[in-house]
Amino acid sequence: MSSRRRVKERYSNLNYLIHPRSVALIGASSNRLKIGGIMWSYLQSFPGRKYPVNIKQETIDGVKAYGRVSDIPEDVDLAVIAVPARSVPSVIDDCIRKSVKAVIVISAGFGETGEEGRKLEEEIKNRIANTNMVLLGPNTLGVYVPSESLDTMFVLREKSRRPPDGPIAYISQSGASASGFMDMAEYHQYGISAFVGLGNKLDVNENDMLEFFSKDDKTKVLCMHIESFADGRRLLELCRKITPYKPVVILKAGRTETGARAAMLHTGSMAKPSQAMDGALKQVGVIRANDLLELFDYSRILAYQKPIFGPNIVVVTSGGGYGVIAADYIEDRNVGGELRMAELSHDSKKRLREKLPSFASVNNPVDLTGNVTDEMFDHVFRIVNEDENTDGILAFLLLQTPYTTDRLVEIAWWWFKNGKKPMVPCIIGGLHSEEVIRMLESRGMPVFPDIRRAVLSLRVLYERGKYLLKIGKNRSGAG
Amino acid sequence: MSEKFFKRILNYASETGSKNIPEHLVKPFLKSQGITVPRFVVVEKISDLSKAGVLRFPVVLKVSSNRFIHKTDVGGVLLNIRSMSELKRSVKVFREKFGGETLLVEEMVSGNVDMICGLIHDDYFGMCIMIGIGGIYTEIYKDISTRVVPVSRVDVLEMISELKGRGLLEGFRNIRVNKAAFVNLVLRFSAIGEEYGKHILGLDANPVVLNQTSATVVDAKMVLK
Repeated sequence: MSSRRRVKERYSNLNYLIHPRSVALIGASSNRLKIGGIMWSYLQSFPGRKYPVNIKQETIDGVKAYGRVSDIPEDVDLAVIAVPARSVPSVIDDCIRKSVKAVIVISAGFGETGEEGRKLEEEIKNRIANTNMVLLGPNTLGVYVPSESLDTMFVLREKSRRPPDGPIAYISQSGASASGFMDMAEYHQYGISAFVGLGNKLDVNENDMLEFFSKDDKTKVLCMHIESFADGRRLLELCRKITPYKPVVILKAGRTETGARAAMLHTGSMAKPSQAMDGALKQVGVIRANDLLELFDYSRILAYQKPIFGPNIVVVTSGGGYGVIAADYIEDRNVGGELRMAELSHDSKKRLREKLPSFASVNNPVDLTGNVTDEMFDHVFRIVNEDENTDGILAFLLLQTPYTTDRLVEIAWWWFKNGKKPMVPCIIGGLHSEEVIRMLESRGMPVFPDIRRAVLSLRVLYERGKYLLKIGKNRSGAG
Repeated sequence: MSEKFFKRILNYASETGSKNIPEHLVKPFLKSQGITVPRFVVVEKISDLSKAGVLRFPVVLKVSSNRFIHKTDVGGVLLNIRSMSELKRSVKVFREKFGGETLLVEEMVSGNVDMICGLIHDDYFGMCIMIGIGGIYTEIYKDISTRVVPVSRVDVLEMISELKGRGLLEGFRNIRVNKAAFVNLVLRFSAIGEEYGKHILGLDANPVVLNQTSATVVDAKMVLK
């Protein structure tokens, strides 16, 4: 078989990892306290054909169980393996005999544990080397695809909720942080097109999944948490192709590692691997996150808001204190990057003065004071949107002032969606604020409960806009 | 043209078994790539000194050997030599100190700003290029920016804008330097990285001295893979 054909088949087999027509669970159990039992019960939401495989039991929950995958009479697209590590190689053999398209090895106890585990990995690698079967893992939570109701994760749903369907593909090399991330995503109604846990990356790696989701119409943003690069050069090539159309956000953990370097050279001693990585990823338009919260914030603001095409930010607030802190962060290169506080036009200031109380500030930050009304917010949003000196808006929606009502939230929502200038909203408070934030987020409007996070997200929207301009994508074609 | 000079570098490495390439082989190669270096004369034997007559004094005398990659640390750099007779005396001293090692005599270059430009092979991303504020405080400030080779002019300008010391290239306190010449130099290094990257582990130009007219590589080190 030509290698080109193999690449193509491999790619289509990745499709069965995310969109299988049938799934076999090897190690299925009727005991809900066991991993194989949890997984079998969660597999029940999958509408396609599903088969329990268990070498000891005749039936699982009243469904006929098969001793081996090869005993299943129909085709199997995806086999999910949750048996002890030492049994995995023989199960893989059976999957190859059955011409299974894709395999997920949930089981741990491989390369991550030491020499013996590494040997097992080698055995598996040798077995799949001459096939087109794709293998995800081992040591992974597997996949979660809301639109397919496919969920291979063994973390309990009541403790680790699953996010809704949406525009973000989430690829992670870390299982534990992925379940926390997704639980948080569910709370904020952050929608994902799919989650893929890479595990030990024996076969399928981040580059395969990046390429796959770059061609997936549903996916608008690629969000990735990795600890090692399978092939850095390939990653750059892929990102260079993808980022003009879809934002890619990467959290690369483990920045202190040192590689073999020509340490006698200045370039060698200073341009550490992490330095080289910073430059390389920036070059191909990747947005970098330093931790999970940044990964979360950046991927969702990029999914739900337009890029910002200039550095000039106007801050709209009814609390002077928030405005001052925000201005400090915007002008701080370490937080705001190249953002700066916009200088409003003479005309805007005049129009603002007509609508606002005499003691309000019509400079930037625009401070509407505690006497603010819903209408004032609406006027101000209109004026700053029409001002040619502004590129983006940071809006503090203070819910605590006496003359504002629930309508303020509707006004902010309207401008978030329809405003010419991208807006990032910030709401600070306790229980009431939390409820409002959740309501807005369920409509697809990310709200930041923290000033610094809001400014960082504005910066990311500007970095995205600047990159699009740099590569010659015009404003209308972007986003 | 360049091929010839790089071949000498490869030959040197295979003859000596050394991966560290002495400066008297690196400089001609850089020059052949259109990179500005000071005018120089290579002194293998005393009679070569007569060639130094064409140089404009003051000059600098350097030992050029794979054994002394950090020349300054071993007293292998003598600055500000003002005449031929002083040069002859200095060469004699260097001969006693460093035996038969090759010596390099170069014209002194004056400038207002020291930069660094280098290539480095990265395990993950391949050949990368670095620029930064150079000179003796390079490792103190670590004010650098990197990219993967090749870089475009826009990339280089973006790299400069990432430096904290970018003001030095942009007229800070009326310091006038030829920023465009430095940008061109970085692009030429990028081209070297592209063409010869499979042989090079690292290449350091520090300092690259900038003045109103040019960007000159005053000191260069190369390490092969």
